[in-house]
Amino acid sequence: MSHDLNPKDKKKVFRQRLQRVHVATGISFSLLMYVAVFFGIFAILLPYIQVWEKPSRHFQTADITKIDYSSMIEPIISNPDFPRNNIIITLPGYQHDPALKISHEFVEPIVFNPSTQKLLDNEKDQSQLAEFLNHMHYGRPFKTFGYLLFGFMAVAGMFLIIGGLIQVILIKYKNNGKNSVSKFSKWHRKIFTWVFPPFIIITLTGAMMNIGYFGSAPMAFMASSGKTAQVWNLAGPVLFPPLPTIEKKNDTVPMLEINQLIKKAKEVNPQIDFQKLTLINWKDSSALIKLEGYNPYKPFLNGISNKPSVVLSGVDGKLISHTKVLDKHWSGLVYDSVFFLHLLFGVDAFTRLFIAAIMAMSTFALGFGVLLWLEKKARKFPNNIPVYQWMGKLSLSIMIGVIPATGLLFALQWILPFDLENRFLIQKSLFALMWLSTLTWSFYRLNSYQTAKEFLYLGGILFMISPLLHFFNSGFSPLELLNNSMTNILSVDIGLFIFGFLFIFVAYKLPTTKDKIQNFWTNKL
Amino acid sequence: MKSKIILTYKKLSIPERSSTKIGLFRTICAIFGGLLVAYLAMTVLIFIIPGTPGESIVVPVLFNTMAWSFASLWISLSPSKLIALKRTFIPSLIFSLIIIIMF
Repeated sequence: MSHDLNPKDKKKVFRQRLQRVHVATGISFSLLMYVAVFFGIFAILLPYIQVWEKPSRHFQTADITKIDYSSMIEPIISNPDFPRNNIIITLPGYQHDPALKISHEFVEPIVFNPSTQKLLDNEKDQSQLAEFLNHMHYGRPFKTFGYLLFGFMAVAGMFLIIGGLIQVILIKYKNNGKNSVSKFSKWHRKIFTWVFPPFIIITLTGAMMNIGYFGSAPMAFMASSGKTAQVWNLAGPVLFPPLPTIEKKNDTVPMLEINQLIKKAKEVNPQIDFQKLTLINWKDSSALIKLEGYNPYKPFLNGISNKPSVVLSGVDGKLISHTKVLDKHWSGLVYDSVFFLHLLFGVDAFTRLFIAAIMAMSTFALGFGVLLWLEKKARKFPNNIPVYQWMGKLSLSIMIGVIPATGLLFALQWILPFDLENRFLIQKSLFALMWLSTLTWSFYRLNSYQTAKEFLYLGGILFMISPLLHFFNSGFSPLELLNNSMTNILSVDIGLFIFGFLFIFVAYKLPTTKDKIQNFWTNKL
Repeated sequence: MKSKIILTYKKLSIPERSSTKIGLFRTICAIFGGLLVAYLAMTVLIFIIPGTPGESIVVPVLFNTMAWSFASLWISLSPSKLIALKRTFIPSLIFSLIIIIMF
């Protein structure tokens, strides 16, 4: 007796299996992937939200070329009690933050408004909206468990992308089907074939950040012939070269003004946008200043680990060393080019919006994938029987329920007073509560489309009122924001309003009866 | 005993006619076997890429997870359980040998 299949059957079984593993993995990780991508959109816009959420950052953006750094920095660092080594100064404009920051390992950061040169009252832990949205993006609220879970999800994501591509190549799908199942299938495939190149790179780096470092210990052990199991002991000096340790002379000499040092560094390399200054052994005759930044003329090659820098002597501004973008070891350049699309450090608003749009499309593609699976389950029943399926309810609450929950998070940012104790704890607890209540509500309701409609209305309203609350409680009207060149803040308001409006529009259009739904998907999509 | 082993071998080597059920055997082979194959392959890559360990470890650490997903997919698509096992252990063995030689 022979068990061998003939070639035709072999091919058929292979293709079926290809689809089967895709469906099984896809449906198991779909909701996690959706959460990561959904909050990822907010993480892309993090620099803008970070400014929008803080009353202390509501001031006119100063003209970078005309800021007098010395008058702010000098009084702080000439204070004899202030530490003298490794003082870090973050220049305004870094990650779109208009403030100037002076920080040190052992000192609370000091924040300045560069246009008025006044000290700012930093909110610190009271305002963490943007950071929280970013944490939700990679599972940080659940600590190590969250990291691992999201990391495995990213690996599954790559598995799905590769498997999906093979399917699209091998299997001849028809695009002209008229029922809702074939429409979902068509759009799930179409969108992902468009967006897979950035998507797979972003998933790859995501997996690396969440589980790649964790799991690299045996590899580091073998690579170093048993000397160390810490990957950073090996790769750290290559990717992030440490500052040179220099002998202190233990004297006090006058330093050159920061303004002049920045000017000198600009002459050395005019291409770099300087972001961060590090003062080493300041006020000593061995003093050095390291100015590092981002070179926008060489995107993809710098910004993450590769930071072009100029090191000058603090005494007379003599050039000590000069590191250009391409001076990096090639492995560092590979590292930066892969991470560039994910972390988007130093890129302009257009690139950020473009990537955000790609990711928004991906959320739709993910949604269509889940809808396809659900529709195949529901198709077994005639139209007059309502289908109650646990996965459908769960995905409804996670995928649509996250919208009112996030809307509440934004609305609460400007409702809760900033001096409220445990302000951020209350804010995120209410967010969690809202999300959980959507879970209960979606399991309670029989008609999922009706529930989706309600969630979208609620989310839309919350998103739409949050800019209004912002205008009212911050005391800045849209016109004032515009006139005082706070366009970064105003654009977040506009974005939130448009977001909210879109949700309400979709909610208005969404049908609720089963035959209308079928009609909607087949004719409108 | 011997005939039992042969019987198991024969049973494992039957290609599955239906692909609707993925099965625990295949799943475990794909997830853990895939990880093993990918991890060892990437470790071999460290020795192949020239440079100090610090320089050559960056790319393998970066692409480790992607290699995992590739290997998992490859193993999960094997026609029979035996092939899934072979796809797990043969490359792992080869890569381990290379690592032992080069370590």
